[in-house]
Amino acid sequence: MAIGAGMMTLSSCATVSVYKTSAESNKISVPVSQFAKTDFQVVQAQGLFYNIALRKETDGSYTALLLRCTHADNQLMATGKGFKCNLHGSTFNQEGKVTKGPAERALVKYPTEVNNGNIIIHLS
Amino acid sequence: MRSATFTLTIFLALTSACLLAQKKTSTTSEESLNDTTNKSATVIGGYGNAFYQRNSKEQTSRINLERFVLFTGHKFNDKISFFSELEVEDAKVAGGEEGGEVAVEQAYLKFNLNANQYITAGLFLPRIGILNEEHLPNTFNGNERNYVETYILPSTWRELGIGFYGSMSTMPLNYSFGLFNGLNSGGFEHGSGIREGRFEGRNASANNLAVTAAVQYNPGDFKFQVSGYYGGTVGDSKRRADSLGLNSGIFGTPVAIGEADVQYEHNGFSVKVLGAIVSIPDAEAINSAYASNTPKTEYGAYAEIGYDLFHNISAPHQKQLIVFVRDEKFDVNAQIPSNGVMDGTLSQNHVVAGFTYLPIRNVAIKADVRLVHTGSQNPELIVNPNPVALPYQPNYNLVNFGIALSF
Repeated sequence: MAIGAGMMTLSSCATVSVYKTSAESNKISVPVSQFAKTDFQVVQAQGLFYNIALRKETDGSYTALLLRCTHADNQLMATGKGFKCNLHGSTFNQEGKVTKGPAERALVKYPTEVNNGNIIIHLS
Repeated sequence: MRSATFTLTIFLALTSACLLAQKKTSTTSEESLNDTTNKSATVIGGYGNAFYQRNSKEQTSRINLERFVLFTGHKFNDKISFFSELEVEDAKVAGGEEGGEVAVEQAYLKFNLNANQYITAGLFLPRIGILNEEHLPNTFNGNERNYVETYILPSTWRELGIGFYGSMSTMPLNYSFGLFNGLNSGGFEHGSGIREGRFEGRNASANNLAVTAAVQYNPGDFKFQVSGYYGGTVGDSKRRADSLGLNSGIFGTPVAIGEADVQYEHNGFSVKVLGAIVSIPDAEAINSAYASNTPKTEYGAYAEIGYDLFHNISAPHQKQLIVFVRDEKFDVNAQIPSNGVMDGTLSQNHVVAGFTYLPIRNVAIKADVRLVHTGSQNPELIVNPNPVALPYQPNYNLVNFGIALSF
């Protein structure tokens, strides 16, 4: 259930849309309407110490990536072209694959589904 | 009997309280959410590098395991983690022999406040420059760390303190603030700037403190950073400081540092530009107290460009073959007080060129040449004149071959 939504319109690669919500039973729900004007959202779930990057693919499916560096668990920042860790400099592309070390493993990807106008992110 | 009953009652009450405190009364959505990532875990990692160096001036060669660092981290839960790095320099530390170092490079707790903010406490690296945080040897070009971030910004520079880190949700901007122990101006040495004034976690004076701040902006392929440092350098009592003619107190006899850098990466190209300046306004008083020829101002800058020759190879791979060139300019003696002695050899220009081959991202094979040009020697500083010692050579080169890794 969404407890609030804060959103900035994508005017350039330097701004990111953010959707604030909470989770129920290890699931996060994001309205499909959030993607009316953008194909990328950062999802902030209350109580979770990492953001989730949610991207709409060209085939209409959605990819959810946990923004936690796979090197030392630091929080990642969305840069507009991927994700960057400011602790040791690892970078990941929009698919979550490592583009610069020291991280070796790709980001954790959560399964998603669309149900009744909502994108459901399964956290387990 | 009454006493025993009272004791039993108290015991039962305390036991019940403990059991109630331990009992999980309900599972909230937040708790169930964290269960998915909240697993306790201990992680071991590390990094290291070794290289061969040929010095054209000395006509000597050496090979050295410069660093081997073991990283140990433990995540207690998603809120609290511990990070540490234990470093051995030059492979061996032996009693009675010079060289080598064993040091705790980092040991700190990290407290996550939310998805965008956290606090660190302990021994850690403030965000100043690029190399201080991003110092893994497979992530920078050249066998040696750049000299600007070695002598002007004394990386890797860690002190004891607390830090606050945060990032904006809606734009790629992050910020950090730190409060640390200060430097020790009594440790400053001619030729190495403030480097030997670091405490690095060992019995640091805490009468004097330092504050740091940094802002980073990461739009797309760019990364911009500005950072600053301001701290006192006299941890002595006021009585002793007064006797030395130094200002004590939290920010007494201060050091101020300003730094800015830009990084760019796109289609195999990478560019780094960094500039830093160090100001020691009370250098004259420090020299009067310690005769260390401390400068009033030091500065340094470098620019590096690299290109990954394997970038356009279409097959999926991690291999990189980066050719690079870097120009470093720094002066550890840029401005001296009236009681200082100018040393032209501390004004240096280095050009470093070479390649970095990464068969995988975490392993690097490096080759480079460092062309060194320095200012001329001040005759007043010559202790052993020619022919007792060889004449000073302002131009020479260092040829380096080495390996580096992190995991």
